Amino acid sequence: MSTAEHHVADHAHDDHDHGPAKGIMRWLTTTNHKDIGTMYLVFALIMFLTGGTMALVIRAELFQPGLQLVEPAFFNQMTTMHALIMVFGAVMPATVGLANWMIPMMVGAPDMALPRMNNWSFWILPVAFTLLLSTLLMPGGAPAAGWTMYPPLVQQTGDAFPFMVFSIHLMGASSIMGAINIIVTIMNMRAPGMTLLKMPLFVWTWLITAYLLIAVMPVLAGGVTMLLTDQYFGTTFFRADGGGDPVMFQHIFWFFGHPEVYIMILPAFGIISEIIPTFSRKPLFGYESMVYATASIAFLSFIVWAHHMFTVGMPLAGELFFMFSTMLIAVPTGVKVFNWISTMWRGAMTFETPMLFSIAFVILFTIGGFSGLMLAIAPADFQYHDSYFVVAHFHYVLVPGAVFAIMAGVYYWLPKWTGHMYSEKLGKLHFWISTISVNVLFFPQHFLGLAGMPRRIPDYNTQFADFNMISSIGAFVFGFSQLLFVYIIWRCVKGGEPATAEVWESPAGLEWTVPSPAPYHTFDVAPEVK
Amino acid sequence: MSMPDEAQRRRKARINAVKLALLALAFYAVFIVAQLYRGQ
Amino acid sequence: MSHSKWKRLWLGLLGTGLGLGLAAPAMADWALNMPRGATAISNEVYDLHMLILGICCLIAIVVFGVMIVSIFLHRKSRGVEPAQFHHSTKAEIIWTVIPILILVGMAVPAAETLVRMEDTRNADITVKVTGYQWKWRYDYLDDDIGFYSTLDRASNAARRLNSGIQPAGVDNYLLDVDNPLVVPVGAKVRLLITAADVLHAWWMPDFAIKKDAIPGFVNEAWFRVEKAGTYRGQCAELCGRDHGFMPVVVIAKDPADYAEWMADQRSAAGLGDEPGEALAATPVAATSVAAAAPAVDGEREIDDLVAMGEALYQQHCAACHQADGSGMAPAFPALAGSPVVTGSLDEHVGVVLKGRPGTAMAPFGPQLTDLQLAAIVTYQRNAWGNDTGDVVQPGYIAAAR
Repeated sequence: MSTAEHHVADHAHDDHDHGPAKGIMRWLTTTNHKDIGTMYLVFALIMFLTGGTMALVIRAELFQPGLQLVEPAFFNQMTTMHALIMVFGAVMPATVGLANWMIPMMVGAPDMALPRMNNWSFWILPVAFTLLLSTLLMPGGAPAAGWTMYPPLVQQTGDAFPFMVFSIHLMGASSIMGAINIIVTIMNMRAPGMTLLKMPLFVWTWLITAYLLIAVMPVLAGGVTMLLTDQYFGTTFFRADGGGDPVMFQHIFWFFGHPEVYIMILPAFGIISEIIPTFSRKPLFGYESMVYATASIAFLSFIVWAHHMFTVGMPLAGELFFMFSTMLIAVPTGVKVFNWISTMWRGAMTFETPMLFSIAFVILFTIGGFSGLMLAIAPADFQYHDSYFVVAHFHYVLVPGAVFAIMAGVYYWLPKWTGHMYSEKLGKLHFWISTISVNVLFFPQHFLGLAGMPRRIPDYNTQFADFNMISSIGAFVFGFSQLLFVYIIWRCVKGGEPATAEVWESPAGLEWTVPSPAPYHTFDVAPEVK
Repeated sequence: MSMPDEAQRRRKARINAVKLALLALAFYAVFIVAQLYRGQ
Repeated sequence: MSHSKWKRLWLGLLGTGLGLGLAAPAMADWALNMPRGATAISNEVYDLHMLILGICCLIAIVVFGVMIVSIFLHRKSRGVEPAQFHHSTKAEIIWTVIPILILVGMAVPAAETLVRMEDTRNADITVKVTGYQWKWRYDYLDDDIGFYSTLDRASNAARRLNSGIQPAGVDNYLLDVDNPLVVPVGAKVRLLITAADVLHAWWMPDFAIKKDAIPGFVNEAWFRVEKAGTYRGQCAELCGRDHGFMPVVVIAKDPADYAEWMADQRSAAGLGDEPGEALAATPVAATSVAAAAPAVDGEREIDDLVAMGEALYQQHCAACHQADGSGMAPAFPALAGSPVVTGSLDEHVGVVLKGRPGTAMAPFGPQLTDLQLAAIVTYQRNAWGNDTGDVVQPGYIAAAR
C-alpha cells in the first residue's frame, strides 16, 4: 500500500479528536460503527413502514369478502414483497444496526474490526432494495410466488425474476459481510479481561446468530442461483420434466429458512436479556444456561427444516424425525422463558417503556411458541399447514416477538444514542396501542386458520368475514400507531431532558460507562474489565 | 488499547474474516455441486 | 404477604377462568376451532389438537401466572429490596426435565396417529387427483372416467374485481364447483395426487387431509367417510393468480347412490357396464362437456363449434384472458384483436397445444380432446370482433399435435 493511499484510508483513524465530516459525504464514506448503526436502523425503519404499507393493502382487500381494491395477481405481489421486505429489509437490518451500535461499546472495542467493509455491507442494502422495489413497475409486476419462491410457480415471474434473484444475492452478501465483521469484532477486539463468559448476553446471541448467517445465507444464494440457471441456462435442478425435483428447492430453501427464523429471534432474546435485569434491579438468572440454551437452539435449527414441508409427502420415518426434533426446540426455548421470569422474581421492578415491551415480548412470543409446538405435531400440522393458523403463529413470533424486542432495544438505548430522554408518556402510549392492536390483528387469525381459511388468498367465503374484519381493524390501528414511534424517535433526537451516563438505575454493561450521547469515538483506550 | 496492540488485533481479525468468507463461499459451492452430482 | 393481596390475585384468576369458560360455548357457532370432521382419522387429529392445546393452555396459566404474580408483588413502588440470587442448577435441571417428559407424552399419540394416516394399503377405490392452474381433475382409475372440477359459475361471476355481486348472496361462495368428487360412504378411498403445472395442495379439512400436488411426482392419501354429505375445502399451496379460486368439493353418497351415479357417468362417457374398457385414443378421459356432445369426430359446422367453444372457453381460459377476451396485460394478453388469434392458424393452435414455457400459459394439448380444442380455437377466432371466419376441424388439431 502506498503512503498516499495509506493516509487516505486511515484518515478517520488519524482524526480521532475531530467530529464526523459534514453533509451527505459523512454518511456515504463513514467507517464509524455508530454512524453505520444509525444508518442501518433508519433504513430498517423506512423498510418497516414500506412493508407495513403493503400489509395494509393486503388487510384492506381482506376487510370483507369479494374483491374490492386489487386484482389477485397484485395481491400476490403484495404478500411476496411484504415478506421479503420485512424479513430482509426491516428485521435483519434493525438487529444488525443494534449490533453495530452496541457490540463495540459492550465489548470495549474502539470500533468494528473491519470498518470499511462495514460501510460496504450497509450501502449494498439500499441498492438491493431499490432493485427489488423497482420490480413493482416492470412488465408482469413484482415477484408473486411468495417469499419462499417455490418453483415451478416462481418460474412464471415476468421480467422481475432476475432482479429478484440478484437483489437476494446482494442482501445475502451484505448479511454475510455484516456477520463476518461481527464475529471477528467479538473474537478479536474484546477489551482485556472481557472473557467470553463475561460478555453481555446480547453479544453472545449475536455471535451465534452471525455463525448461523454464514452457514445459511450461502445456501439461499445457491438455491436462487439454481433457479436462475433453470430459468435461463437450460439446467433442470428443479424441473420435473428434465429429471429434477421441485421439492429439492424446498429442502434447500428451508435449510436456510429455519435457521433464518432464529437469525431474526436470537438477537431479540439478547435484547430482552439485557433489559429485564436492568428494570428488575437484579442480575440475569442463569447466565450460563442462557448461553447454552442459545447454542442449543442454533444447533437444533439445522435439523428441523422439513417441518415446514410436512405435506410434501415425505417418508414416514422423515416425518417422525422432523416432528421429534422440532418438539425438542421447546426445551431450550422454555429454559430461556423460565430464566427471564426467574430474573423478575423477587426483583424490584419498574415499568418504563423498554420493560413494558420486554414483558409483552415474553408473553406474546411464548404464545407464538405454543402455536409453534402445536405445528410441530405432524398429524395436526396437516390441518394447520398453509392456513391462517400458520400466519398467526409466525406473526406472533415476529411482530410482538422480534419487532417488539427491537422496539424495546431502541427505547432502552435511545438516550445513550441521542443524549436525551424520550417522552415516557408517549412511549407508554405507543406501547399500549401497539400491544392491544397487535393482538386484535393476529389473535383472530388462529381461529380463521382452524376454521379452514388458507393463507395467501385475496378473497374468502363469508364464514370467515367477521374475524377478517376484526383483524383488518387491528392492522390499521397497529400500522398507524407506528407513526407515533417515528414521532417519538424524531422528538428524542431533536431534544428532551438530558440523559445521564447511566440513563437507568445502575444498569450492567460497559456501554453505560461512557457519557450520553456516546462520543463519536469510544474506548480508544481499552477499559479494564475485572 | 495501545495502538500497536490494536493494529495487531485488527490484522488477526482480517485473517479470520478471510477464513470466514472462504467458509461462506464453500457452503455456496457445496450445495450447487451436490445438486449437480445428484442430476448425473 | 398481606391477606388482601392474595384475595385480589385469586379474584383476578377466577375472573379470567370464568371469562374463558363463558366465552367458549357462546362463540361456538363462529367456527373458532378445528372441525371434528367426517372420518375416524380426522376425529383422532381433532383429539390430538385439543390435547396439545389443553397442555399448552395449562403451561401458559402456570408460567404467565407466576409472571403476573411477580409483576404485582415485586415492584419497586411497593418498596421491596431486590434479591440478588442469579443461579440454581437444581432449577435449571427441573425445568429442562419436566418439559421433556411432557413432550414425550405428546409425541407418543402423535406418532401413532401419523402411522395410521400413512397406511394407504387395501383401498377400495383409487382416484387420481391432478392440480391445474386453476382447477382440479379427478380420474377414477378403476372405472375409466374422469372430469375437471372448476369454480362454480355463480362464485366465478361474483369474485371479479368490483363485480357488484354481494358474496353473501352466493351459496357457498368460493367453496362450490361444477363437478365435485363423488365417493361412496364407508369405502377406503385412496387418492393419488399430482399436478400438471405448478405446486398445488389438496386440502379437505373434514378428512384431515392436506397433501401437496407436485408436477412429476405422485403423493398418496386416503380417507373413509363415515356419513353421507357434501364436504368443502380449498387449494392450500400458492399456485398463482387464482390460487384462492380452486375449491375442493367432495360428495359422499350411500353405496347404492354412488353405483347409480357411476353408471350414469360411464354411459355418458360412452362406456359399457364393465369397468376396464380402456378409453378411446384421446390422451385423457373425456370430460363431461365432451361427453355431452356427439362422440363422432367428423366435420363440424361453425355454429356448433362456436357454441361448444364458448362454454369451454369460460371453463378453461376466461380466468386469465377474461370472458370478453380483454385479458389482463401484461401477464395475460388480450385475445380480442390479438395478432396470434387473428394471424397464423398454425401459431395459434401451437400456443394452445403446447403453451408458452416460462409463463402461466399452460399446454392444453394433454388436457383436452381434439374436438374441444378445435371448438375453443374456432370460438376465439370468431368472437369479440376477431371475425376471421376460420373454422378449425378436429382433424387439423390431430395433425398439429
